Amino acid sequence: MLRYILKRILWMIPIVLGVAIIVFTLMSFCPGDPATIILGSTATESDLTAMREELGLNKTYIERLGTFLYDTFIRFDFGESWITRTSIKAAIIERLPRTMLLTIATLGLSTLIGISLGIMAAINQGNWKDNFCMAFALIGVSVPDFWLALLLILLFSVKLGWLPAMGIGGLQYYILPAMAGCMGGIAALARQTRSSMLDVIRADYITTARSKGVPEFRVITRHALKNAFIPIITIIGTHFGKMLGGAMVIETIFAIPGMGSYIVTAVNSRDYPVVQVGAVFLAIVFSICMLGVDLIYAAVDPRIRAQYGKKSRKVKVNA
Amino acid sequence: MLNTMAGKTQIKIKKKSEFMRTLKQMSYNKLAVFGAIVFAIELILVILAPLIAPYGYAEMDMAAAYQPPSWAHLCGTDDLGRDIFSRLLYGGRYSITMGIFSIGISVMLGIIIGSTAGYFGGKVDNIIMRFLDIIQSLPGMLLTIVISAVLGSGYINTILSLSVNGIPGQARMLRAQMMRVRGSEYIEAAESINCSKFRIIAKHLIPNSFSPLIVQATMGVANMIIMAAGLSFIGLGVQPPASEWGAMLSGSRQFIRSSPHMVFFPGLAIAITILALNLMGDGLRDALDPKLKR
Amino acid sequence: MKKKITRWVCTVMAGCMLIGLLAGCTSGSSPKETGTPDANSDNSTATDKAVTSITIGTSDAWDTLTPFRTTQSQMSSMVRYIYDRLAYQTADNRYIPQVAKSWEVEDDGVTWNVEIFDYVADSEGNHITASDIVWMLEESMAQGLKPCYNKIASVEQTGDYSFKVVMKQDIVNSFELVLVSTYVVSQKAYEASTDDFAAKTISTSPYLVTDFVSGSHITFKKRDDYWQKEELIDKAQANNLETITYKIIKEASQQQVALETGTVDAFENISATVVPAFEGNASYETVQFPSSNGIQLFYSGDESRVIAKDEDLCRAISYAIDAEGLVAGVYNGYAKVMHDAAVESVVGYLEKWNDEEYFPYDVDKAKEYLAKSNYKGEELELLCMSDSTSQRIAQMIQNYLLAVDIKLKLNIVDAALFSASRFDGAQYDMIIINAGAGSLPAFWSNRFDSTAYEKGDGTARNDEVLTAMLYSTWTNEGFTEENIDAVRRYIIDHAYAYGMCLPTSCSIYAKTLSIQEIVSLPAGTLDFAACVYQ
Repeated sequence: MLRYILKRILWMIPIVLGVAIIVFTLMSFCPGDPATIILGSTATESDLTAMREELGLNKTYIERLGTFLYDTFIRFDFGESWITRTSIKAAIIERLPRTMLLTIATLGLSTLIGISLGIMAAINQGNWKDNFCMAFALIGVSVPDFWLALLLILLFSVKLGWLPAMGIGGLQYYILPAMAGCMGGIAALARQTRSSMLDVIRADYITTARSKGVPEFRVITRHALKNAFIPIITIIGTHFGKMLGGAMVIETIFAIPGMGSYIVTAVNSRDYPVVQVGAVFLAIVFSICMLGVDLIYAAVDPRIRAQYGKKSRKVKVNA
Repeated sequence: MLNTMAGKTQIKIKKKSEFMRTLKQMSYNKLAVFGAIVFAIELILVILAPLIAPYGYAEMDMAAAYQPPSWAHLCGTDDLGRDIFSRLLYGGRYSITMGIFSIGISVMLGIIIGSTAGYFGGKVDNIIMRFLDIIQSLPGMLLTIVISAVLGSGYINTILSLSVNGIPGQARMLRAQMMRVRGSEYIEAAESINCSKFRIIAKHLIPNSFSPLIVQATMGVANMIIMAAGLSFIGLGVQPPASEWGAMLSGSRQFIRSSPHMVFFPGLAIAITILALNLMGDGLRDALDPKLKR
Repeated sequence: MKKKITRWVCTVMAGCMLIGLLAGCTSGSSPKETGTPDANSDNSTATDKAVTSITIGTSDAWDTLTPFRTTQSQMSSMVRYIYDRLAYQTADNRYIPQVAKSWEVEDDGVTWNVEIFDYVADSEGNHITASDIVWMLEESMAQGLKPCYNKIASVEQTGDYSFKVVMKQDIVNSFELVLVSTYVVSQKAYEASTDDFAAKTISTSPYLVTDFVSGSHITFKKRDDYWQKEELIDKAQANNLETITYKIIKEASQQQVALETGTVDAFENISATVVPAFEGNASYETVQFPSSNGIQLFYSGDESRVIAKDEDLCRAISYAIDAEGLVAGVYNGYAKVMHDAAVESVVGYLEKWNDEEYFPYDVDKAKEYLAKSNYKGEELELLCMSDSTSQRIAQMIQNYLLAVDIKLKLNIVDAALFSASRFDGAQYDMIIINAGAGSLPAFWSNRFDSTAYEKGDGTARNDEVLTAMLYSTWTNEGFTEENIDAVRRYIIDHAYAYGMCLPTSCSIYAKTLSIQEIVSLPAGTLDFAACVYQ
């Protein structure tokens, strides 16, 4: 098992390297001259040439890629933003927690609501409650998130005055953004929960448990949900990745200076190092989360654990 | 476990008429039928836009700006005095086709990549899958934004940048599906009569792996429309005065307090379309899922 | 047994990761909470006394505090709290001393002698001498930081507190522009800084930056040990507030929400779309000043474009656009029609121009000129930025031109691409520019000087006649009303540019601030620290 984890962690290296190379290559095709943007449009040609030299833009693609990879992965020097001259590492250390907090809050909310809706629907399969739950989830996902965000602000901040509408600070600042962003997750989770619950709910062991006289609530939570959990975790994992980079709409509206707005601003101003390092960081976080999902699989499902066990035994035999 | 095994064999037996069977199955699902009808009506409206729309999509009348819905302007007018109803009709052409084309491209590329991986297996599979891992560990929206910045805005470029995002998912799906079908007897039979690899992939493997792909694609169209709206939010996407729904929505968000109708109707158009597509997709999925058969 | 251990390992690892994530989040965000002062509580305690602390909403984002970046506007109201400058420009275009005590020009018109105060010190106690200023100037020149520095020939220190600047040309106001653009920092402190002052500055300004979160907010606290003597501080630079917090809010609807919920006490340069919501509201005060940058349409001067040689076509376009319509449609009326390509607040602008006719909306005249031109129905291209205001202007222009049968294609690009192609006239037929400048000569040199850029003037045009006219007009001798008027006439006659509208900068503040006397800035915003409170 530990061997497997180690292997997975080693696998992250080529993946993160691949991400770095892809993003670097894409950015180098971006139209627009960073030197002009940095110096403003009134700089003279000689200033621009000097600036290009300073940024290393006069070198070939391979040379620049080599320098970037060497600096990032060997020296762990993430450099500074071309536009603001600030350390990218410092900016990410400051911003990543906000995006993570937003993501976790959003995902927590969607998990809570999504799974409850899914269970409700599965238990009441076919009747109006089922339809109601699924319709709620579907309507939620159909609403564009910034539309919802604006409506929520009007209701909770302006009309009721319960929650802050923008900015950063305590946890209460993340409630509205999480509410606005959780809809996509709710629909996916409710759907998945419903269908995997339906899978297990007819299984023999559930009938056995019921006939033993186990209370219905316990049957649902202990016996059914536990076994329906694997695909649900997968959905949560993938949504985590989506949200990390996709939160910039929510971040913009709620004026949360997080990773999404950082990278989007950088794309718009051709701040190559920020985009590259930002993407690498997000990829690392994503990979770690995926590893976490796999570990949870193993923790939840003895069959999967047995599989890993077998693998590591095989390796031992070979060695 | 037994349950799913049974399901698989059932699919195989009925493979010829599977599409018809699926449609029939779906027709029992009232919600799915409702979704399909709504989407069909939308398609007709959008195709006939020039005949139905009372005004042109870029026709401005500054004297009539910010008008709430009325008989003259069914959905009111926007900040430049354009009729929102007409713009929605024309805009649907962009939004819906963008969704369909971008998912189409990603399904096609997904098929090529997924089937190559799924059929050949081994090293080829490994390399392709690792490459997909890399793409997938980049947050999807971020990738779309970067590609969109590289290609520039515009209708076709936006479709391309949206479609890249969907490829890994489609490819993975198809590969998993093909892995399942690959071991079956009829493929062995085809191989034994010396069928070319291309023929096996195209004639046997893909058609038999297709159904989950259709489900995912239906939902994907909805997803792409939402992503396009997100792109317009940050200033990328289709160029004005083309009235893509997402652009209309994000362009009018500053008027949400003073003229709510400007934001409401484009949002409603998007919501209805996505709801219809999702209902259809759900229906298809249930219809294809042997476990849920009634 | 073994199975149990593996399971245990899995759970613990997963648990650790989750805890790690959460811990990372909270540790990262908790210091911010204590750092952000709560605007509301501060104000409620100060209702009976004069307001000493204020939270201002802004859409103007300072991403970095470093003095060596021009991505931010130096017209921004918070600049004064971050850096002292050599001289200070007031809203009525007076140049008053700040760090520079006095400056005078020699007879040649290009050599300036400057004397600075001999007791300038920054917040860390570093004493500022002329060498710090000379270093700053030379560094700015080497980096081509702002256009005004390209006009300097040389800088030389002449004493402990005096230095000499030689300009390349005798251009009216070009030296004053250098004075108001140069931030004062200690060379020693700057070189000792690890991040080039990007997040933590040491400057001579009257305020200290106590909390700065890029893209979110910035908080200033008044220094007790500001170097300048109280009696020498001009009223326009008064420091009547103890703490000032700027919150960056870009979404128009959120700007309104922020004011309504009391998240901010005031909002500078608020979006025109939300101003009507506060008009007539008894608890808010709205102040309006013309902003410093207008919205102009420049026609390409690049030979490869038909429009460059077709003045009739340019004229037709200028007549076909209804500037009043733009003011009403795009700006809700919070803008005014321009009467020149330059905005009316620049030094040298003649009042009488406002009464003259300047391309009034006239479809018949447009059609007449169009008939005279060589336009044969080809599609013209308009380049503009992708912000919502520019997009709406572009769409309206497209519509106006359609009315006279001119086909227009919109090329809407992001800020990066726009700045990369704006001087290359070969890439567009016309371009929407958001231009302003401190003075007419500066505006002319940015836009119409054929020697200014690689390919010619601001639209790659090479007009030697105009350039010669500019050179003789913008000297201190030639800067007469007659000459200025002739230059303007020339630009109008050849239809090189069309100034469309000048947006109004609206600032809204809560009446609870009880401001007695308002101090505005050249950009049309308010200087809240200099305002007088009850």
